Amino acid sequence: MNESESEITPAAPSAQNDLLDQVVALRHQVFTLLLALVVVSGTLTVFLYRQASLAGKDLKAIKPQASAMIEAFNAKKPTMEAFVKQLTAYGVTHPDFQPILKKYGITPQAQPAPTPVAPGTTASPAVPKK
Amino acid sequence: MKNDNVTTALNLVLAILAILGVVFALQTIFRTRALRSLQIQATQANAYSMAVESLAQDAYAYSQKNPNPEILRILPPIQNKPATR
Repeated sequence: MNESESEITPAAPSAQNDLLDQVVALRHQVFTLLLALVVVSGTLTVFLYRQASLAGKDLKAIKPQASAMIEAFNAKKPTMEAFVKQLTAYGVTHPDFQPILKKYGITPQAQPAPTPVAPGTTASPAVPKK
Repeated sequence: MKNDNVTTALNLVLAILAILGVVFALQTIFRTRALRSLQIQATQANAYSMAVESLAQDAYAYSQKNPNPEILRILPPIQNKPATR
């Protein structure tokens, strides 16, 4: 142990200066990179703030209208469903009415909760959940 | 030493910016999700209402061609007017 310590010889002054220069250069580089990172991070934060702000404004603008519309729909929904059910029942006894029901994707056999489909569409519109 | 202080300050700023970035990103995600959910619900409600309205109009047209008290009894609650105004 002592032997190895005694073997370490102090570096030459020129080599020491070289190392010191390297450390200083490295410090400068780290500082520059940190500064760049702060700038990039700040830009990203500002962008995210703007996005959040815009999304909040959109939500604030749309929420009252959409909520009113959904509430009105939910109020009318039982009447509409009863109407569709009655027409479906009518289609069972009157086969000449069945093409109209078929146009909306309503099959008279499917008695539980028939959902009308807009003509030309394949998927039935799902009823929005409350 | 002075350089160390500046670096510490920059690290602090960076940490604050990172936290703010996460907060704003989460806000954006939740607000956009709520917005999309509302839009989907409104679109579905509109599509369903329009489909029922169209069905009622077709049923009304059918009832004009095939007068039947049974269908006329069904129609009034929703469809009182003819399809063409």
